This record gives sequence, C-alpha cells and structure tokens, in this order.
Amino acid sequence: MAIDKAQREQILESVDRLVRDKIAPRAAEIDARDEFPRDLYKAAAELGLFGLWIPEEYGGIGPDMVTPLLISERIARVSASFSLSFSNCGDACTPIVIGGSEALKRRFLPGIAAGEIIPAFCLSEPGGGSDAAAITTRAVRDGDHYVINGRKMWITNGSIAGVYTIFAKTDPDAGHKGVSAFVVPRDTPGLVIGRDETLIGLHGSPTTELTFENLRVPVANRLGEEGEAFKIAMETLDEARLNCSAMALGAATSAVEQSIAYAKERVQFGKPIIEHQGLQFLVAEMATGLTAARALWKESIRKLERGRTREASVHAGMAKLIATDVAMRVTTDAVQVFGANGLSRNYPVERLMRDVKAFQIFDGTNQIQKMVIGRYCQKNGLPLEEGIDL
Amino acid sequence: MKVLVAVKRVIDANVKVRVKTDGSGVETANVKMAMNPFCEIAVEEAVRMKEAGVATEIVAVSCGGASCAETLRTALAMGADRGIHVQTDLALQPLGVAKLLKAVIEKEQPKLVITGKQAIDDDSNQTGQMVAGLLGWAQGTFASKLTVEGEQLRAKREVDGGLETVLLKLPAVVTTDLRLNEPRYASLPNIMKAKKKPIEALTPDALGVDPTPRLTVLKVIEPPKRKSGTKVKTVAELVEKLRNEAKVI
Repeated sequence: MAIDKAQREQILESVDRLVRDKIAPRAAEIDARDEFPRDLYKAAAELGLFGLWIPEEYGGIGPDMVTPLLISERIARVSASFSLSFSNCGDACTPIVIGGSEALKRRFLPGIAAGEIIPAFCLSEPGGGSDAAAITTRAVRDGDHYVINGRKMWITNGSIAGVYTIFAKTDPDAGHKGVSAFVVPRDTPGLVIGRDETLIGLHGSPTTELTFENLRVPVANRLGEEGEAFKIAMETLDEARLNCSAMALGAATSAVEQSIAYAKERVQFGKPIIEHQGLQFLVAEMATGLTAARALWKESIRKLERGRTREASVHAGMAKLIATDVAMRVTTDAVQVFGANGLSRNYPVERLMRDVKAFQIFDGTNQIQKMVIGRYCQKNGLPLEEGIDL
Repeated sequence: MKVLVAVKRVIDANVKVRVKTDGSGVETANVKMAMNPFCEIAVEEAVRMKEAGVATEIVAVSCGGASCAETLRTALAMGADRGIHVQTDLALQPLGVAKLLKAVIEKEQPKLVITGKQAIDDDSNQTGQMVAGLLGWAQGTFASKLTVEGEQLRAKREVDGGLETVLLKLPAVVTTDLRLNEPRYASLPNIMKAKKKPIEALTPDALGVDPTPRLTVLKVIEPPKRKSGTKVKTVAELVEKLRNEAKVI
C-alpha cells in the first residue's frame, strides 16, 4: 500500500493536530521532568504513526520512507525529544522488517505498529558508536542458541523497550562481516537494564546502558544469516541521517520563528530590536542558513527516494552535516536574540539549543560525515548532478 | 438509519486570512485549506451515531470545485462510508448549496441530515435552515447534544438565554454547535482505507438545480486595525473619558 501525496498531506494534517493539541502543551514539562511521555506515545500509536515503517500484513501501512521524515520534522518544532521517541521506533524496527524471519515479524511487528511494544536499536558501545564494525559484544553459538556477552551504551528507549535488536560479533576476526543481529524480548534472563544517562538535552527520551550476561537467544531470533547484520545496519543509516536532519531542522525552524516574533516585540532604545541592524543581520543569517539546509535536506530525500545509490548516501551525509550544524548555530543565536531571557528556562529557546547538540553527534558524528564525504570525493570527484531539472 | 453530512472546504482556521489587493475577495491561492470545523463536528457526530449502532450508513456531501474531493476524503477518513461531490466552479452561496443539497437528499433519502451551524469563511449560518425549509423538514439548529429516540430526535440547542431542548420528528435537519463533540483526528490506517471508499461525482445540471449566485459581492475590506490604548492616571479621569470621550456612561 503506497502512500500518495494527497494521503501524505492528510497524514500531516492529523500529525499537526496531535502536535498542536497534545505534544506542544507537554513539551516544556517533559524537558523539566526528564520523564518518557507514555501518554503521548499512546496518542501517537492511536493515530497509527508507528505503522509507517511496517508492512500492511503485519499491522502497519508502510513501509514509507518520506512520511516519517516529514513527521519527525513537524514534531521536533515543539519537542525534539518526542520526535526522537517517535522516529527511534523506525530505526529499531526496520532491521526486523528487512532481515526478520516470517515468525519474528509475526511475533513482534504487530505489537510495535500498535505502540504496545517499544523497540530499541542496540549498536553503540562504551568503546565507540561511530565505528560500528569495531563492536566487542560477542555472540557465541551453543547448539540451537547463541550466548551473548557484552555491554551497550547510549541505547535510546533502553529502559522502557519491550524488544531489543542487539548487534554482536559472531566472528571477532571478520571485521564488519563478523557482525550479526538478534531480536531479544525484554524479559530474557541475562539482559540487564542499567541506569538512564542524564544528558544535556533531549530530556524525556531515555538513554540507557545495557549489559548482557550469558544472554541466551534462540538461533531463530537472528536477523538474516550470520555475519549479515552490518549490511542491515547500514541500510537503515541513510534514513537515520535524514531523520537526524529532520529533527535538527524542526527545532531550528522553531528557533528562527520564535526569534523573529520576539525581536519584533522586544523594544530597546525606543524601537523593536529587529529594527536594529545588528539584530536584523543575525535574523537574516539564521533564516538564510535554515532555508539552505532545508533545501539540501529535501533534495537528499528526493535522491534517496529515487534509489539507494552511493551518491544518495553521500548526499544524506551532507544533509546531516549541514542541517545539524545550522541547527546548532541558529538555536544558539536564538538564545542570543532573546538576551537574558534566552538563558531562562521560562523561555523555550534554551531547550532547543540543548536538544540540538545531540544531533551533531548522533547517527555518525559530523566529523564522520566529513570523512565519508571526503573519501567519496577522493574516489569519485564531486557528486554533482549535471541534468537540468529547472 | 442513513445519515447525510454536508461538508464545506474553507481556509484553514489557523491561517491568517488576507484580503486580495483588488478587494474582490480573500486570497485563496496557495493558502492551506481544510474542512470547516463545524462540519468536522457534524461528521464526528454521525460517526459516533454509527459506532453506537444508531446510524447504518454515512454519506458525506460537498459542493464546489475539484479540490472539494480532498475534503470528502477527510470525511471518509474520519469514518463516513461514501462521498458525493457536486462539482461546480461557481462561487456558491447558501441558497444555491441548499438547493443542491435538497436534490441530493431527495435522491439519497436519509433520515437525518447534519450540517455545521455555519462555515468559518462567510459565517452565513443559513444553509442548514434553508435545506430544512426547502424540504419542509423539522430543524434543530446549534445542537450541543443529540439523542435519537425511535422516530424522534431530541436536540439540545444553544440559544441566547441558555439551553433549549426540542423534540424533532424524523426526518430532520440538524446544525452543529461547538460543544456537540470533539472531532477525532483521522488515523493513518483510516486515511489509507478512505482511498478505497467511493466518491460519486454529480453536477448541478444532472441534479436539475441552478445554483448561480444571486447576491453580488461589492467589496471585501480588512477590519480596521485596532488602535493602541491610552493610560489614565486617576479613576476620575477614567470616568471623565468614559462619559465624554467614549460616551458609554
């Protein structure tokens, strides 16, 4: 079932209402309490948002690549944290959709689509997140089971998830070809759920440490063949980068809009501060940077929609780099526009600034993006499209 | 019981409306459109009646240009069973719409017709009443509660003095007020399913109705900008200004 443009518009209409009526009024409180908003997750589930990544035969309406990205951006305008709670479901369930057996899909996907089971994607480790092939969690075959030992860190929804997709080395000497993935329900003995981290931003989205102590997982819970999981992880990464851009751009859009509104209202030296050239230039730079980043993001979505090419992947990296850097700059500038009020938790712009920092680090740090883009240019030159589409 | 709901496509309630520079109307090009909020309440009420087993079928009707089909899709996604689109590019006015609806109602034979009390664009508050008048049916306007009791409908109406309850003989026309219900958002699975529901396209000609506007809009202007207030220093000054300047006491 493909989502057409008119349906996508209708979906966004429903999402906008959810954002306006339910999410926006709770956003500041979620940040202050640093508590996962189960009520909002339920409301999003009732609307059917978690079915977007899941095929119809397993209770979803997807998979659809573009709609979740647009939704992430909309939600992030009021709450980057809840935008992450929404979109992390996609990151975490897509490996099951791509690599899961029929039995695994039947067992977990309908519950995920209904919002009853929250999935978690467990790749990053204390030793590093960006270098995915270097993970040290081990899965050792023992008859019709694997025994998993190791530690994971920065696991979004780690403390509240119902099912975990765990990446582990089945062959420690085979580099990325030695990585396999396993679907593990929460109540499995040996899955030890640690404490939630206290982060600078994205409060309300739990980030958890997990430990595996002789965690026994049936062979049937493996995604794809042994050693195939790196490919599965990489396949979700392009979307993850565009989603990271979406969340950053949503928050940045809100920062610019609020800055303009505030600068028109705040009077200093007898006139609204937006009439002072210093402020005007600041607002102009914010608006221009944001508009450029949004354009690149949209173009990168179009490219990826046309095909999962190496070039499209590099573009997704470029979009992530620019969108998150611009978002960091404009949210910091927004605090500047608000002056002392910008520092206050009574105004919403400091939250945007704290939330956005994570996006320069998530889904491959911006330094990693530069390495990927640089390596591509070294090998293939500039990824420029010569066709005229204007 | 078959229920017919009329829905109108209007400028989204969250959009700041701008008057065209030539004063001929309001700007609608590239403006976000949506279902009239009172019509949403009408659809919601019909869907609740169906969920309660009172209504058996919900037919949503919209009159206007091609894009009205999108508004009908929204009604279908909320839970209406099928749509009827009376296609015309004329700038319809309440009497024209009422005549078109009358023709559709005679064709469909619903037991209950629900419309919004008014549309947020022209605020006419006429269509529902005119439909009832043309059909010779009972009407319950500004309804804030509806209960079907056999062949009758109990409608609580929001009137100036408070609440008035009327008992209507079915078939009847009801117009919705704000407090009747809180409309649902169309869920994603229902948006997907709505595409498979049928929308029948009709024309005023086929219905034998001439909905040509009879009123001419002379000019549309923006309301005057609110002037900034002044501060008074004493109560005496306030009283003086209220008496001599504002002339309200």
